[in-house]
Amino acid sequence: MKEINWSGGILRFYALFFVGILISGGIAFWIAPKNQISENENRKLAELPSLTYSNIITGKFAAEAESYYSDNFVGRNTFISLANIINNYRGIHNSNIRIYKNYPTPTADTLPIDIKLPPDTMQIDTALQPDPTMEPFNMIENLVVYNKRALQIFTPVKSVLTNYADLLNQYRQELADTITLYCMVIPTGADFYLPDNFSRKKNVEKNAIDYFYTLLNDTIKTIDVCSALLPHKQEYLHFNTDHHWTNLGAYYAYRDFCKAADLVPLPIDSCKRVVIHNFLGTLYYKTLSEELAQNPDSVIYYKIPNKTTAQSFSKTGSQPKPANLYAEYHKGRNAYGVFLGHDYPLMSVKSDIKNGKRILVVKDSFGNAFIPFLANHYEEVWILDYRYYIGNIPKLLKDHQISNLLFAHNIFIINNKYTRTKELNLLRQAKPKPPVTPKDSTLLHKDTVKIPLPTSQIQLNSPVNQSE
Amino acid sequence: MVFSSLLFLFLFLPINVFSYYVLGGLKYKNIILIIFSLFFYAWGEPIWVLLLIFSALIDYINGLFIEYYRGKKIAQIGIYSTLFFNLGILGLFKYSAFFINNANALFSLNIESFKYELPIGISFYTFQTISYTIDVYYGRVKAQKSFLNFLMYVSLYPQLVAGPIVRYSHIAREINERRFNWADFNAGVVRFCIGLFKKVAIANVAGSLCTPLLDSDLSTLSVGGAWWGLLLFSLQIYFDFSGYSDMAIGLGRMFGFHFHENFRYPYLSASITDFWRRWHISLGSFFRDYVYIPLGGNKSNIVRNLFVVWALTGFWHGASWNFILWGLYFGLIILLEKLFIAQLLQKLPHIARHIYALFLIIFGWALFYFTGLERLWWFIKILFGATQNEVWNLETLLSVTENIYWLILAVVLCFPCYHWLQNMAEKHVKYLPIYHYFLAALSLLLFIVSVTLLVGSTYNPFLYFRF
Repeated sequence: MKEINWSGGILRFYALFFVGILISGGIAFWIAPKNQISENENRKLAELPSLTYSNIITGKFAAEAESYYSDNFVGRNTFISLANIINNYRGIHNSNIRIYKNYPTPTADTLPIDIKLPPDTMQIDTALQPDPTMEPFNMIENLVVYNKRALQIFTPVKSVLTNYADLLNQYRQELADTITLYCMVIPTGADFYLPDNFSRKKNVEKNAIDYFYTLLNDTIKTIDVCSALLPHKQEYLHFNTDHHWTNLGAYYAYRDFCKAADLVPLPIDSCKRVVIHNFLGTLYYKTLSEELAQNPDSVIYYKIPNKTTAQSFSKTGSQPKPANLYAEYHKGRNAYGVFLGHDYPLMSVKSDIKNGKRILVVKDSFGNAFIPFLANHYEEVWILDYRYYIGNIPKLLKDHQISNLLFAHNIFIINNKYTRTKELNLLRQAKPKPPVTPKDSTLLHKDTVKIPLPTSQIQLNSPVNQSE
Repeated sequence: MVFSSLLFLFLFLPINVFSYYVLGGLKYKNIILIIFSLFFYAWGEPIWVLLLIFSALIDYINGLFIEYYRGKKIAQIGIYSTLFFNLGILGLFKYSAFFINNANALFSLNIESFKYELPIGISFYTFQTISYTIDVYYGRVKAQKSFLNFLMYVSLYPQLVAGPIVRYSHIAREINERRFNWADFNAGVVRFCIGLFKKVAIANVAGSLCTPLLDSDLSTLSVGGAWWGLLLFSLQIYFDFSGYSDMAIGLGRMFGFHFHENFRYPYLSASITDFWRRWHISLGSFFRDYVYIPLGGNKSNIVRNLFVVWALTGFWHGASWNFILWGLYFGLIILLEKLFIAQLLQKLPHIARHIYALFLIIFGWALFYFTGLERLWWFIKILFGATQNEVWNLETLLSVTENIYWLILAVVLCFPCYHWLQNMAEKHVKYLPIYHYFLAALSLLLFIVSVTLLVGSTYNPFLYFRF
């Protein structure tokens, strides 16, 4: 027993020290200042939940309190970088390839932070914020960092692709023959850049797109972006640290689009080349990979020589506000925002080409880098973001006498059930009544969440009544 | 609440320890433990704490009833009552949906199933209270006269949600007479840190690596990937469960309780019989003492007894056919071991016995993992190359190499390193102080790494925005 007494000092000291750490950690939490947002994660941090009876009974209070506690943990950012370092020591890293996958699902109610706009354009429609209940909001699952470039691993779902193809065929069927329909599916480029021995994922994007195109009605004109990009794969077509493609990648796709649309493409030399340096995009923030940090991107854009005026609209297509084809104030992590400035629900670009031709592009953010080129060929380019706009596409085409309709989507988007549901609504939905009272507008907001049809529309499958 | 959460570590635990030790008198300390335990349990699921108190009350009364009528036949009512209520609660919450769904499928009925979520820890505390009443009946323990004391035994939060299944006889004395000493408290802290590290740094990592493999589209899984995924799951389930038991034992010691060990290096087993003496010991011994031996044990109907015990053991793990299959799989192997394999193994070198046991254990986890039998069958075919799937691919290679040091650490921690260290220190008394300094530094390091990884796992970038 004497020995234990000898070492009794350390036993007591350590036990007290440990409890001391726990207590001071607890105290530090309560006195430290709280952050509202996390820049790196692009989201609001969890807030202290309210202590109500129903919150407690349903367990909501407990869950939110835990999120609040961990989101506001003292020195959280330091711990996160430290955790990254520890995780780096888990094994040997091949210097040029690394797989990231299965990030934990969010615990807090994650809401995205709006990008910061200069004061004069601060008035942003609330519809611009994607709803957190929108599924799946974290689409980037499997990532590979190879040669300092982040690549997304695509897994096609046949049934979803088939359903989406059926939807486009339905558009073809229901729209007048005078409307030319184009479809352009944009790859993320993983096919080009994955190592050769990444066998089971070889050409998966191209195969999926080719398969998808075979399902489309022959009168829908398709743009084979993969083949258009392939000869140029050594050029700067996709970002290293962001999930988007570059303006140059979009340019090659645009040349192919011109072939399909019987247009003469603008030579790239006639565009003014502008560079925004030091762009670390979403995939960097997803992985916080050192390799990516060493290889930041530049957003290089080629400004078309035409004079344009642009307007943005709310999700119902009202409240026009001035907008830009190139929003040149964007920089840093938002540099891709230079194209069109923002994912507005609806936008129009009027150019100085007075040929009376009009086109509507239904797009996700991949479309943004591509669309500016169109202003060189169409007097009016209408741009609709399928996530936020809640009006009716046939009516939009009719109202603005548009006779060209292009679906420009990234392959991940057409491989997602949500897209079809949303775009079926855009085909079916009657024009929503303008909000009269604030109560109505909350209803409209709910509609965008659950995507039911308005209750006024009784027959789901009847063709849209144009006079409505 | 769970132990591996920041809220528990830096809010609940310090307040609990502080208020426990600031009060004098074991009676008050016990009340503090009850309050904190009920709060711990009610956190996130406030309703079901009533069920816990109800179960405790039933068996408190059963114990007194049996004690009162000791020796008389009527005392048996206490046994029937505990079985009825506890198995009833368990059946209703855990198994009714399973039986109703199966009946619906079998007889094409359309009965609605009971829809409430499974209350946390229900499988553990119902077994604890059953064991108490049976032990009182057989006179192994005296009935507890104070409801508060009994409630403390049932609700004691260190072992409440994930075991071990603490027998009343193990801690009966410590309820009213436990003395504080720094060596215990210190050992508790060290043990807790080890458990936390096992949970956060091994089990959670293994989980994050294996889910994408085992939950993926099986048509794209390589044979190597399937085995790697299964190995990872084996590590995950062991470190998760034993880490939790370590934390429970450690917390118990910080308050002066000495729980029995629940795991004894199960992956070092030399046979399946051996494995079940080392894996989740408190469950195995429960079924041995309260089912197998009452049924006749090794003396009569051994095949039937084994069948019943192992089907129940499997079923205890979850209300799904694959768990029953998993239990019976081990029951069958143990039967065969009793018949002839054990003798056969004696003739083999040690290493062969371990390979034999480890292979069957790891393969068994496939039965445990896949709750859908169709998917399970597909996965087994992949494991043994009966499909067109690739044998190996780059993704698997990268997953292994990128975690190779971690893997080595995890495998090393399957060995009794801590006990080797302890034995060494005890043999060479002059090293004992150094040992304690080392242990303090080590457990502090483990704690810091665990907290860092816990905070790191909350990194949750929002990416939809610009898609």
